Amino acid sequence: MASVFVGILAFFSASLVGMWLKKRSIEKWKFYRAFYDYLLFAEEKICSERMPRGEIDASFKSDSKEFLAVLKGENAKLSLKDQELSSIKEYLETIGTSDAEAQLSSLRGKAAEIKRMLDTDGEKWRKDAALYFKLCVLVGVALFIILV
Amino acid sequence: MEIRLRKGGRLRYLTLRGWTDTPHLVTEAEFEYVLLAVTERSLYAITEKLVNGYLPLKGGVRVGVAGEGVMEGDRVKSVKHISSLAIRIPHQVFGVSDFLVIDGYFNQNVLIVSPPACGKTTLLRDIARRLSNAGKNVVILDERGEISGVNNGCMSLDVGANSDVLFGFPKKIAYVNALRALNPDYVITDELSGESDVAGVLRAFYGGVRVIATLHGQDENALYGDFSALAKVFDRIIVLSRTPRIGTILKDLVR
Repeated sequence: MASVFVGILAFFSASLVGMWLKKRSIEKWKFYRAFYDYLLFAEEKICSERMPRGEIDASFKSDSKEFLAVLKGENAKLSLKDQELSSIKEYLETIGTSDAEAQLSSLRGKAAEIKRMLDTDGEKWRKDAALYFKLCVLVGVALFIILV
Repeated sequence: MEIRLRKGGRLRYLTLRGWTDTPHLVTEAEFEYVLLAVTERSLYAITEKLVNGYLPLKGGVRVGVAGEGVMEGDRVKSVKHISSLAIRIPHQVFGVSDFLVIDGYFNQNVLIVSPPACGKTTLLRDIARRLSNAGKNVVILDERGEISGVNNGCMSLDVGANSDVLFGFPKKIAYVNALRALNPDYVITDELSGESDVAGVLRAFYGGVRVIATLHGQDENALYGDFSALAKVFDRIIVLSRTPRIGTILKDLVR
């Protein structure tokens, strides 16, 4: 009876780890997707209205809470590595520090870079997310069989 | 009050006692910090506005800039590589116009002449306030918001109970709108410059409206030159100096 209980516990633990890994990968993808959307949004608002940075940030909407937290300068727990995060923060700091032409070309360049990243690495993150979850569930089932 | 920042230069400021040089050298990082603060981290949004040489901020604060002009054809398109900032903070000094007898019967066109930073706008504001409180309908053509410190329709400086402020309008439109729609007894305007101002003042004068204005110049001769057409308009010319202190009345000519 105890071994069944331990087996079920092992199965659920492995599944939870799988879910956490999946969520992390999905959040990372959502973060970069939001960053890309933000770059396009800022480009559009600067190009058409010369909208000030504060208003751009305030009117930008996204389903990535992590990216919105970074945009507000809050210290949130993130799915990104420190190095990735600091490079994004550094870039966000530069928005608003140059004249319109330089700003627009910088935003276009960065958006192209992030788009390329989403097309290649982004797809991999999404596939990996599903894979991690399935693997962890399989490990959980294996542990259950071994223990029971 | 005025604060001067130059990249790598000494920080200096102007008060009623004159200029004070501090030993502090403005670093590039400090300069950028101030620049981004006054532009609300949106330099791209204002570089094209800077072709006029200044950036108006809330409360009538004006930031003059010096930098590199970006040309498009024969016009300045924007300004980049900003190297100096002159931050002018308006302040009000009540009673600086007490030498003028301003009551319900005051009926003069007054021109205030002086070089920059001698207290023209401060005197102009006090005259506007007193005229307004004496029951005159006063229309202030405040293109940059320096006279009234207007911000979102609210005046941060006291310009009197009966003053209407036209903020942000180019002068040539402001004169027309003031005369057509606001029925002024007095039109108050700062820093006459160019043909549109001359035409506007003449329009007001011939329309039976009194004008109180300021003009950059050393003395009353500033009126003879580009502004000679206005010589017949002004009954009184006040010349200001910054020595021995800012706001000193050098001449008060009644014509």
